[in-house]
Amino acid sequence: MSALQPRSRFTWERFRIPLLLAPALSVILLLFGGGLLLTLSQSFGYLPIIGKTEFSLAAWQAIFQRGEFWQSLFLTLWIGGVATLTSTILAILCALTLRKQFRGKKAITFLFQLNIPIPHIVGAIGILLLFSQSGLIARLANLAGMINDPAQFPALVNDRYAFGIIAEYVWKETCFIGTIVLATLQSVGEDYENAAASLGANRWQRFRYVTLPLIMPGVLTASILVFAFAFGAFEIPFLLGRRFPSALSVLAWRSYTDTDLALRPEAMAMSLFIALVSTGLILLYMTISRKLVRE
Amino acid sequence: MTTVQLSSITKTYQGSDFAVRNFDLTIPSGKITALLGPSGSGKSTLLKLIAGLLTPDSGDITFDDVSVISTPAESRGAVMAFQNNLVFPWMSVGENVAFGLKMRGVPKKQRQQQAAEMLELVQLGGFNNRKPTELSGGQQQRVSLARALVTQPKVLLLDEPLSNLDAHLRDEMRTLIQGLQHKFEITTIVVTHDQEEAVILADQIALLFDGELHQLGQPSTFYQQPASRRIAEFFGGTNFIPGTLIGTDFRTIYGDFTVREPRTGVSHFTIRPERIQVAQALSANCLMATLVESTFMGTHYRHQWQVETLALVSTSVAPLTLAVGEETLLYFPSDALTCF
Repeated sequence: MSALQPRSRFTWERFRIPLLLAPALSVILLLFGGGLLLTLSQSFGYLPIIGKTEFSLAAWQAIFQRGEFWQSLFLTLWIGGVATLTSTILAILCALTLRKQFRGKKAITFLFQLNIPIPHIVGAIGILLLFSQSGLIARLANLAGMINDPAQFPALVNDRYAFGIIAEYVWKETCFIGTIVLATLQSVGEDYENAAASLGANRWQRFRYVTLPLIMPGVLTASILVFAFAFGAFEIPFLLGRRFPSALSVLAWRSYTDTDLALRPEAMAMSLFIALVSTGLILLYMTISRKLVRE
Repeated sequence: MTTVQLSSITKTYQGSDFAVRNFDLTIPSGKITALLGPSGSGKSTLLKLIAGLLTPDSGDITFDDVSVISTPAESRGAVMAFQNNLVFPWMSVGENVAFGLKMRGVPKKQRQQQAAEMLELVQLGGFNNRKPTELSGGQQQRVSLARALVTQPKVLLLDEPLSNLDAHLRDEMRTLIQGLQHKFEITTIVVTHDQEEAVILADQIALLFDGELHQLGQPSTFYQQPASRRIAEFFGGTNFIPGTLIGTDFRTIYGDFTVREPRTGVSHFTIRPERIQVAQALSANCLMATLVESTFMGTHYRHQWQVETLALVSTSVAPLTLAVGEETLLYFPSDALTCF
């Protein structure tokens, strides 16, 4: 009697995919991995350029003891949280509207999805031109006699509550989340909702017990991605935020570009902190999506 | 027990022809009525109109003489069990069955108990905490049925309830549907494209073609007295013999036949394959035919005959004692002939 034995034979086939990926991976490893390694070592105080060659936790301790760091962290969480929540709610409402049949649906859906390829920086300039105290809306309000001077217009850009930053994220991310929700709604159709209606569910109950669970996987994954992006992004809070407190990424950048090179390890520690939080969120996203796929 | 009345119902979909046109139908209370027809005949549209998931362009729908046309689906009391089950995959089986009760504000304990009882009735006792994905297609169909029945609907609407099941499960599901329908005496409307499904399930069949009602009656009527050639063909009829009816004498180029009732304006008669017999002796309503082919079909034999240019099909339980190419007399009983 001979039992079937697994053959352990060397074949190039096993290495085909890693070999094909090797050129791209080596670039990523060199640039990204190298950069990460450099950031990591500098965050632990290894900065030979100013004579620091010993590793220490000083920079990490310093940032956690710095009041400005916590204020920046709070502001960043506020921006990410409010922007994500607002865009998610708006995205769901838009997707629910766009799934219906109405005249001009194609054109409106196209307009809704139009800003997906537009860069954030363009949105930021738009917000500046529209909402700043010298912006279009302030001038129109002045012309209409609602305010006597454009400077009387409420500060909506570079403001305390980060309205400008949040507005830019909402403008950009609503259509991102909305497109994902709309795709889910269109692929599922209205059958489940019809079944629920027939079983006695009113409009709100249908949304709460049927539509929401159906779109939740898409909403959850998209909103985690949006939050992770908003948490780590630099250019929008840099352009539209206040100098103090600033978003975490801007604080890290300021420390990095400070003339005092001794602040550089702190900048690196802050950057790594942002990367860690974002990575944590991505892992959470992957865990949730895998769980949902299994179910 | 609710009588459903459809009066002059018309429904058109955007950019297409009529789905249903001037449709009148009375669905008797406490019985199973099948809306039968080929794909695109408007039967599913009618079901959704009755459920309140669609609004007709014109006409009225009444439940016990009360118009429900402006009553939204959730308050209409016509619960639909869909063809693809549509059991909510994110809920447990128990939560699925209790869904309708939850929407009506029934307290949790009470609805859980009612759901468990209903699951027992559909032979899924103890499945409360299972996820729908753990169930087979047949079991999901029973969950869908339990979910509809637990709300004690006025009208139960079943969309192709047997079509996704294999032969064994079909029989089981049919017995279950009929048993529960008799137990609760719910007016039930079944939509199907399968004449066999309609015949085994329904007390009454409404046959639709192109959004219009073509024949209404008991299942046996469609075999014994189809109103048109199209209906006879839909029910598996293959024997159509052209001729002229004078009185009760149907004259054809192959011979003359006596039919039961004189009718006007007819050009064909039909006979079901199982009603054609091999004649013992020459008599009226007989034709000489040649056996072309005889095939064993598992439960019966199917024979193909040729009478000059006319092809005929008959069936028999026992094999024939005739060889292919041989001639014999075939007998067409008067009561088996339907003219149209």
